[in-house]
Amino acid sequence: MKSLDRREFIKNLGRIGTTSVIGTLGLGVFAYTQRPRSRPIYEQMHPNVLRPPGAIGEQAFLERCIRCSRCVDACTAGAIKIAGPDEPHIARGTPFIDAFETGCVLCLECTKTCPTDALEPLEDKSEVKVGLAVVDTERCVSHNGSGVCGACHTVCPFRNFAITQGIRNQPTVHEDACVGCGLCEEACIVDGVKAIRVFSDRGPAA
Amino acid sequence: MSGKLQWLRHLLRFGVLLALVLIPLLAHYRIAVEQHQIERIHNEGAANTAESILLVVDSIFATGPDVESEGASDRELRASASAQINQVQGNVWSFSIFGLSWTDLLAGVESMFTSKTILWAALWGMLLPIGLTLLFGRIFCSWICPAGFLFELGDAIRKRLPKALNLPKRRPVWHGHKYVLLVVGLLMSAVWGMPLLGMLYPPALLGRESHAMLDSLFGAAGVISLTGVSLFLFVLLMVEILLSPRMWCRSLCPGGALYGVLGARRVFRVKNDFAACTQCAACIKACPMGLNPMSDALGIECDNCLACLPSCQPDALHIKAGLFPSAESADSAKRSQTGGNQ
Repeated sequence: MKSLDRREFIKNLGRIGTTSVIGTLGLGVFAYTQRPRSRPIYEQMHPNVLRPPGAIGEQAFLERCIRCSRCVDACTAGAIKIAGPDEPHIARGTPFIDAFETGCVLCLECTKTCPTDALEPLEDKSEVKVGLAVVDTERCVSHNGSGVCGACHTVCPFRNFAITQGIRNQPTVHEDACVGCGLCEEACIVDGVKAIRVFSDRGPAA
Repeated sequence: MSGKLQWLRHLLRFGVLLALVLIPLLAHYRIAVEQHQIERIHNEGAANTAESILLVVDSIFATGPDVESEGASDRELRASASAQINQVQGNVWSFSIFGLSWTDLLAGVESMFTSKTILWAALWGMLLPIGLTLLFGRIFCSWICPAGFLFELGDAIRKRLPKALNLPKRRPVWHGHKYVLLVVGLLMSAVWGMPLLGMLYPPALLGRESHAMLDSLFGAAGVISLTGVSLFLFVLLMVEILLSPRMWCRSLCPGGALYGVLGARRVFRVKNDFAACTQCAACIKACPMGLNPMSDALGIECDNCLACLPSCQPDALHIKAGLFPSAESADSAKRSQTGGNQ
């Protein structure tokens, strides 16, 4: 009986060793395949990743976020999306805002539902800092003289503070008031790459 | 009575599986309401499958007295529906239902490992699963986990397959692998700074995949598309049916390992009345986890699914409450585990 126990013990040690080695190698390869990769065409439209309101620093965010998609269910605008195979430059399963399609309406529901505080709870719209809107004066129809627009100014939740208008509705963004919600980018009438885009300090590849 | 309990268990897990599809579906309906798209779809008619699904959901929530005149009551009904839908968010990985917050133990623990901090918000969400596990052991696996439901279905399918197929005999896999995988996975996640186990944990994958499916249906493409996750789950299910039923839950699941360890000293456990037991071994056949309920104390592998209770003809098996298992039962627990390996 005793020798049987001993044999069983040695057998189990072998099993533990095998699983540790296979597990470490397997998870390592898996982690490597899951790393964010660059995708030039997409980056032309969206140079960096926009995270939902209240998101903490990018590295800490990737560590804390459990990829549960509660923020997506909470979003009233449908602005928050989950990175899938179509967005290889964003860590798989993490939430992001695609301002080209839909901007954030700053309801702050997502910040209240996050279970790990990867999105910290916010009380007021002005605390949000998703990114910063930047006007491309060569593409903007009001700036380059091909027309008079003003769509971004009209839609801005901090109208006359974050975006002010000059002659022929030429928009100017003010860094201190802009929260980077992306409603201006959504509203921009320019085809293809929009004339006003939101940039963040979160790189395309981690 | 106990037989009915098993049906209740299957029904509960099937309900969870259904909720994984319904919750993101309702979230999409809520977006259509909040963005005033539902009125447009109502007036113009559904253009694709996604919009006709939205109309069906809308007919449930907004059937006010004057639907035809598009009166104020219709809009009010939709607004209150939106507020109610907002009370239900997430999937089994982490959800909140009417103020009740639940974060899977593996999710919270892994998040703390990757970020190397104690996340009090996550701990708050883990209170309920921790409490339930301390009382009842691995009941998440047997009563809630939607992947466990699928794998148990696979086991049932294997048993009903015609004998002519000549399937290979059940290949037993050592139970201890999952604990090694849990430790290795947590350490690797901490090293890589990204949650790796959460991307292999079937209940989390099911929630994420159904979410992605509905997102693609309601997205620009308008059709349901699947990702590699579906392939992984399908292959796993096929391996279980053809080679080793319940292999994932018994031997590989890191989440099950975590629940098992936490529920090692659970209050409620299956006990055998040795005076009544006839050693017929019917309970061993009934146990989905491949354990031996006759040996009394079932250790950390038992998930309190209670499938053994109705199988016992002399009615010797019972659920008993007790804070400390006796030394004698601990000894028989050891025997039951080695017995399960064979």
